[in-house]
Amino acid sequence: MDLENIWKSSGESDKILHQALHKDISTMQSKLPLKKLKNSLLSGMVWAVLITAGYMALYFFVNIWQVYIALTTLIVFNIWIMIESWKLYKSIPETITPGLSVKQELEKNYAGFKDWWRIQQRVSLFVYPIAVAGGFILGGTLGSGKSVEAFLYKPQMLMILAITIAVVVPVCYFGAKWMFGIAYGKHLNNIKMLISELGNTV
Amino acid sequence: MSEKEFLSQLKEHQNIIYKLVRLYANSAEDKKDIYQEIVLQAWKTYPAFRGDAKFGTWLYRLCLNTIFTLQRKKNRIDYTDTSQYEEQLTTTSVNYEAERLYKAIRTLPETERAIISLHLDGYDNKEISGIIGITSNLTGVKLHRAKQQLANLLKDI
Repeated sequence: MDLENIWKSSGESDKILHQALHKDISTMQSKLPLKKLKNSLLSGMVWAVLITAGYMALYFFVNIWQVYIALTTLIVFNIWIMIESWKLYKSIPETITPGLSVKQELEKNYAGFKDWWRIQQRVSLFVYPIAVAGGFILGGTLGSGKSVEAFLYKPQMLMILAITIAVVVPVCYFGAKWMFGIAYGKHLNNIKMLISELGNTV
Repeated sequence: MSEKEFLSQLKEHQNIIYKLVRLYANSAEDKKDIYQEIVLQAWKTYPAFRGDAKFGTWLYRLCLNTIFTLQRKKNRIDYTDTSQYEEQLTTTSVNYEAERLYKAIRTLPETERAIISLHLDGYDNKEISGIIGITSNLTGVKLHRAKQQLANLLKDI
């Protein structure tokens, strides 16, 4: 018997497929990684809106111009990140695209994850340092009961601020990278390997 | 098209889903996830199916794209040596030859499994290269390599 015939006659079914074909489709939830990424982008945007609202509320309680500058900068960056996230959210399709080849579908997935990670890098580069500096000044002045000028008068305080930024920002950055690796690292490596199997490197 | 009509059309072509998932799933849980995702994706994308291609070809693409992009719970299975492959065979199988063929195909890299399955289902190199997204030359090379490996494993079929 030739292989084609063995192959063609082997296409039966099994109990698990039978169950899938008789299940109510409306109760099914997609487990596609890009769908998960979209959900994560959406929840990230919701948090960003809440945090930005929190920054705006702080305007009414704080009377320190340096903190105002930090808050304004943070709000501007947050809005920018939200716009970028929204654009990415809209650009990621919720479904497989049967019109694309396997390679194109894999590249689409890879690009989606890369774009998401680029946004996270922007957050860590632009938002974290300002948030840390603003939080340090606000916490320090409120805690000590001094003005900002008095609080930062001693050079040691500026030194501590610089060290805090130098420590917290990389910790947050590498923490995010580590979590991203745990969630999607293996999957991305698989995609990368499959694309390279198909003759391209990414 | 109603959900019922759609599912009955899908059932007519369920052998495609069955064969492809059997080549890639590593466990019953994995199978269940992939089957469900394929049914869901087919249902969601079917309205965009314009009938330019045959339904079977459309479903083939959809299955492969879903299988390749779905995150697996377990590591991919690659039987790197033939002794490991032989151990996996169950001689009591009803369709021993078919089982041997599946086990042999599963020794191939994932992309070559797709190429050989398309070839065994009667697609020519040009069609395969369009579905996979590689050149016809590369398809030919991969197909030749896959066939050689299968021939070594299935000498007596």
